[in-house]
Amino acid sequence: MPATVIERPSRAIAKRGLNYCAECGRLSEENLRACADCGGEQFKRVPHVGTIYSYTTVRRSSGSFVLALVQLAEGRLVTGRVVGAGPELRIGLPVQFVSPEEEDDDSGARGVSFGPHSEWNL
Amino acid sequence: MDRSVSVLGIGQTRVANHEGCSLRSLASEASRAALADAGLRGVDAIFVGNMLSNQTTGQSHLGPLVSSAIGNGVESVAVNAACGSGGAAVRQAYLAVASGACEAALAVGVEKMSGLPKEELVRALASAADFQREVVNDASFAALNALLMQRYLYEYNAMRLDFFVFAEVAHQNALSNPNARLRGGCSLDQYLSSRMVADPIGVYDASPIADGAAAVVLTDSRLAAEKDKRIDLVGSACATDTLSLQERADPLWLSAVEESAHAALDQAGLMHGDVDLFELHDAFTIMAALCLESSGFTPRGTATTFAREQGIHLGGALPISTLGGLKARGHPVGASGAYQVVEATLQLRGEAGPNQVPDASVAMTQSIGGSGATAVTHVLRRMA
Repeated sequence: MPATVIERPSRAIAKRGLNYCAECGRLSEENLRACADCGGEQFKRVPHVGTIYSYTTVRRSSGSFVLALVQLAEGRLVTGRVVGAGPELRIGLPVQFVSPEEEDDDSGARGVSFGPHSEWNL
Repeated sequence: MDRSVSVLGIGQTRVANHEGCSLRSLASEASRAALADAGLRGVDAIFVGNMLSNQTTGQSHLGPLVSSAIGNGVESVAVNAACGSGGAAVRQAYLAVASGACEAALAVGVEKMSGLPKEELVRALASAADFQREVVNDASFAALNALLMQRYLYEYNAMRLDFFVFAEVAHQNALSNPNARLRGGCSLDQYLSSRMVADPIGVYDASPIADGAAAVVLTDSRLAAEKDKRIDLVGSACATDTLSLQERADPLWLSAVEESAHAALDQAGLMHGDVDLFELHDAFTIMAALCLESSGFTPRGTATTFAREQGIHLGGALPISTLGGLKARGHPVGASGAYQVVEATLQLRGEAGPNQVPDASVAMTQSIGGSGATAVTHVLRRMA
């Protein structure tokens, strides 16, 4: 995989971790026995931080949003929205998983969101 | 395969906003034209390429819809490979004839996209992406292609401007195609100043939605022996990749495109340099670039340079989208792959009029479903 990741985040920064469903790719913070989406029971532990691999601002009549491929710090790509990034949006920008509860989005979408990482600066 | 297969007849409707024209009437117009061109009254089997009829018209089960419309009670089934449905239907017809199961088979791609509100259509199209990984994040195909294009610009140090050549050539070629959807050309100023859909993809990087149908009649080559222009399907291959971009080792490399292109050329016993024209899947300008690279016509990261320096116009080293491509002829999704084979046949017969590629004897067509998840490649050759 052509990596954008320049250096691994420190253990302290990556400590939160997420569960990645091996079946459907859903990312979750909770330790569930079965995936809430697909019922899969195999999870991989992945870091909750990564960098933007690619991004776009999707413009719709209903408003615009940022979609991205995020490369998690262990190398895996995931698709998600990026919230709260302004002009600093770029390939390589460090981001972190945003819990659905933390998110200020009432669109009802059940996707994944990332926001700029505050401590890990590349 | 046991038998060689010829393209005996072709037919198409205009690609347009066919309001008041049903799926059935579009499919039968193209099919009847192909049968008449072949000089046949019927075929042994029909394969209908379509992606969206259920969502756009409420009608699925297109096999009997089409067979009954053209007065034929033969085997008839629909094939859905998203935007690659047209190519996949041609391949099923090819397999039916090559295997010896049928003497003659018809493949017709048909799509009706007008009339549906834009947001609904975007959602319907997105159903061909990975629902759990991509669509839950509201990813549309424009957005997914934008992710590829943005990454391409980054990895290869390219500019959006570099992709203008793909829009320019397709629009130029569509000017003289009476069946094309967009016949207004595309200037550099239009390209650069057009509205962004999902940056860096602007309006002129994307293909227009449209209604249309295209059909081909494939037969055992013995039935084509008396024709003065015999065109054979000498290579046919289909390969698949992950539905989602995120699961690919390298999103900028379309491995299904690579595999199907090489398999089709190998079967044909031909090399890249033998291909006189390439009807590729330019649903977005970035796709044109990735198809050229992954098919092996130019090394990775060099498609825009290749297009500019070697030429992809009618007189260039490798003409593409010779009658406008998906980009300007229009992209009635499930029909586009069948249009490509119709257009390649016109070129090899020498019947492409002002769009004729001089001395064309080998053509490649490539129809893609999703963001490279299905790729169907055909190689056609003029035999006499």
